[in-house]
Amino acid sequence: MTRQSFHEGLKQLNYEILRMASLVVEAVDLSTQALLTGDRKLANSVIAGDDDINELSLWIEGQCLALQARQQPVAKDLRLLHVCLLVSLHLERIGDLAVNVAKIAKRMERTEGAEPYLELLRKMSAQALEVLRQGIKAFADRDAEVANKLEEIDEPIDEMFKEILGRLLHPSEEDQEVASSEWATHVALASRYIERIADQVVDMGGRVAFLVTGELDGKYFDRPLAPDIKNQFGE
Amino acid sequence: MAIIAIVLSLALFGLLVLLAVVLWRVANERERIAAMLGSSSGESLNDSISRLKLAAEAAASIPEIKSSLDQLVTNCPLPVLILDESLVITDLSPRAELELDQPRRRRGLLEGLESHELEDAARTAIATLEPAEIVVRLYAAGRRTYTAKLFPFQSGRKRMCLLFMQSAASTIEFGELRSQFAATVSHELRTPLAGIRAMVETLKHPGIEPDDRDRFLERIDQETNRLTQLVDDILFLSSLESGAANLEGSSELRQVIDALIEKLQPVATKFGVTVKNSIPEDLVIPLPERMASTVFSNLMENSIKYSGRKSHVEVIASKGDGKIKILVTDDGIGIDAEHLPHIFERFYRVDKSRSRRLGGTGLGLSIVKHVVESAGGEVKANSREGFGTELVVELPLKS
Repeated sequence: MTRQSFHEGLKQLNYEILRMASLVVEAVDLSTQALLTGDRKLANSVIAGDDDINELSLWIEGQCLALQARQQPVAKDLRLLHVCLLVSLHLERIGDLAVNVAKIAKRMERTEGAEPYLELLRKMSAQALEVLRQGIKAFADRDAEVANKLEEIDEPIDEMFKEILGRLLHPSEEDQEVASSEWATHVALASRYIERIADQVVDMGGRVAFLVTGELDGKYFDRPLAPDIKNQFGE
Repeated sequence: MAIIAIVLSLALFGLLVLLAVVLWRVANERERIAAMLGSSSGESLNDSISRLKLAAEAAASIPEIKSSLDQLVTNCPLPVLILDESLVITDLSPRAELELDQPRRRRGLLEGLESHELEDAARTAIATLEPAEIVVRLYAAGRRTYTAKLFPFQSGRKRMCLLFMQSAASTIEFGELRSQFAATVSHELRTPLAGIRAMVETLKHPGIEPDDRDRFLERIDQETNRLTQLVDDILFLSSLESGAANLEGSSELRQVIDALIEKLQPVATKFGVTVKNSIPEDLVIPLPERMASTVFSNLMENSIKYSGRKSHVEVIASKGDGKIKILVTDDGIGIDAEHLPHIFERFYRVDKSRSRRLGGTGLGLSIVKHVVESAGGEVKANSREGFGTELVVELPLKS
């Protein structure tokens, strides 16, 4: 494999990751729409579409391994292959979480007193979609600044998740009936999945920041690395 | 002599062979030149020269075409992008930069607009040189829906594609709104039905106390009344939307309000609210009596129920600028600014549980808005928390 075909391979890899990201954004959006509207057809389309995401993830994994084995890249190219592999795994996991949300959407019946919870889920979903878009943008633009801001825009999602759990665990008199129903379990799980989607993106942002800066020490890695390993990944 | 004859014959044969080779080479060269000029081997040189001239003229006009394309992109009021064969954005209109979250030149379409569906459609359009149209939801453009129109074309040896993006909000989002409305209606119908079912189950129990039985029967009565009212409201809204409702005619407003005060007196007494009619005697409004009664019954009932105890509701009117302005005012608790822009939306409730408890369908103010707007008027609400609310109806003054 020549150097030129190596770079063609990287270009193709980048393209397929962005394609996968576009499918994942759609899956997250449609699954949360299904959850909020109770549209089972939409939920089924998300579940069926997950195969395409998984297929792309496997292709990307194979391509990353093949390029590493054949070219034994160092410095930025090595970081790129390493991060592409991890980003695709994060995206694949987000796709699975969207499927979980879609499955809940199929089981969840609307109930009296649901509005405040649905409103919180609506806000959480919109914010999670924004975090996901920004995470993908950070990867596409190789922008460490945007990647490092993901944690900050994820915070309201954590707060809303805590609020939902708090209301269900310590319900007011008005919420008593809702909080003790099967519906409450579905809401707690759905909000947990949405919160996890955003967490996966924040972790993905850490990888992107590493891709750009080459800096492994810092908030995303607790233990400092041996200098020789650090040199291998550096500029 | 014989030897000389043999030598001459050989020389002549050699010359003939040489001539044949030269002629074959000339023919070959001619074909090669013709092929280079893009003509068939049978085409004359003159034809080839004419083709070359045409090609040169076309080449000369390319800057002109390019400049026209640049102008089109710069001045197009729609988001428009130009893509090359590898689906890289080579140029884009200012509108595209503004609306589509700033996609950049020399970046791929997938990176710029983040849609795999659009990417697939553009790839096929460029490969087949067939125009295409696709409806896509663009997350890069705030999750808006667009109709993407792709026009591939040949530019010299390269293929390019013009991509026009047109907002499809009006058609797609209407469909979404309709299904959302259907989901809300079924929820609104199901909630009281579930309550009625649960109470009937309890009533079946042989050991139920007479007091509890009376309480449940009273609740069932209330819920069925609310369901009947809800179905009536939905059917009325539907007749307004289909244009089947009769809006022709006029009515004397003071008489309408007097009749409504009498009808709503039990509700007003229950909430400790006083209602005053300050409409002048001869004021005629361009709505038939039934419609006027529907509009002001909803507005007044809303003020009575939600302004708070001991508040004062008053209906007043004025004329000016070719309009009749009718106000239903109260000095009650007011409406939070956050809720004010939404109170005329269907099923919007400021306090959901309170509204249901008081028997509201969530459609009253929406019906008011529909009737008033169908009659060419306008309805709005002004409020200040703690000071009261005024619901304003403006109708055109007919000569």
